[in-house]
Amino acid sequence: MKVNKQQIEQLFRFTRKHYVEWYDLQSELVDHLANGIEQQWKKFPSRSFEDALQVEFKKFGIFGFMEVVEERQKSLGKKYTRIIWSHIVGFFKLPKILLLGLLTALTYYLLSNTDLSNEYYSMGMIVMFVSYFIFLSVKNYRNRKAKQKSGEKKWLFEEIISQHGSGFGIGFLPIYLFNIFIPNRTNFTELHPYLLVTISFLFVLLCIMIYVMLVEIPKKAQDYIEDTYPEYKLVD
Amino acid sequence: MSNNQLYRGSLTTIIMRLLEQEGKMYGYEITQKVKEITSGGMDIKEGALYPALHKLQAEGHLKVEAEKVENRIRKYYSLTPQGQKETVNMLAELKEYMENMQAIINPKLAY
Repeated sequence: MKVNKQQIEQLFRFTRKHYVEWYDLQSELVDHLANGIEQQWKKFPSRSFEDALQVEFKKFGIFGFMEVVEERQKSLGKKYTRIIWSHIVGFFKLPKILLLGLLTALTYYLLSNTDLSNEYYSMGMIVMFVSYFIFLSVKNYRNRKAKQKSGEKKWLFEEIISQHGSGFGIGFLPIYLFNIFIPNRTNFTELHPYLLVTISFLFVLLCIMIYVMLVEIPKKAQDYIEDTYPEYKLVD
Repeated sequence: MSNNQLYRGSLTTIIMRLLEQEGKMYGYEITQKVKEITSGGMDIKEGALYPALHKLQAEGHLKVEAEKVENRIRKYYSLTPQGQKETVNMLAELKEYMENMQAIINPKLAY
């Protein structure tokens, strides 16, 4: 006896009910459960679909699908970080490295010639990242609602790309660095040039990272998603 | 997998060794194969199998293919060239570990 189409739909609903939101994980778990149920039917042909499903689900342990979901999130998060780095490394090769050098020089020039207190700088950064966070949250909320409404399938890696992973926290890093480096200075012009070059370079690097997360990776998102999910093309 | 800590630590090696022998396999098939080889002595827990598979895939040791089988999608895992090399290392490590354990459990008497 085989699991039929309606029962497959039922299995998809079952995974959703057990907090598996993403289609990529749902489809793998559905296949697993269906295989298990069919195997049981070979031994116990009269066992009902629901009973067989419960037996199969119990094998996942007391946390159900939670461990599977968490590990998938973790490993795809790592993959996303690797992709970000591979893009950033691209800026250390010709011709992009010229741009990196130019932007660093420009930032250095601006900082060393502007009579700007570092508090303004920190405030500017905080405003920038808080706005970014609000923008991202609103965008994600809208996307989520829209997908729920349309019943469109959700792919975990697609979601990670559109939410920019957990990269947001890294954005605050330069503020901490700033406080460690120059606790008692009030002005950039008072800093040692080497330190100022380092700060300029780190600032440019940070901007590049944000650019990569906001522009470069989303542009190639489709390729990355298809690469992660061979089943992406099989789904209508 | 049985609750035994010993088995838990070897799950990755078991998966990679099986894929080395069988070529490509899907999750459920792996659980059944282990049961069959060990005559039911070892039972891989699903809650541990998929996290291990996904981790190995993210590390680049496994690649995935998808096929439409009957009315559902099936994901097949197989070793990448990097995964094949890693399997050789892991098996060598496991062998060494087993030899050491053997020596500890069953020490040869020295005269």
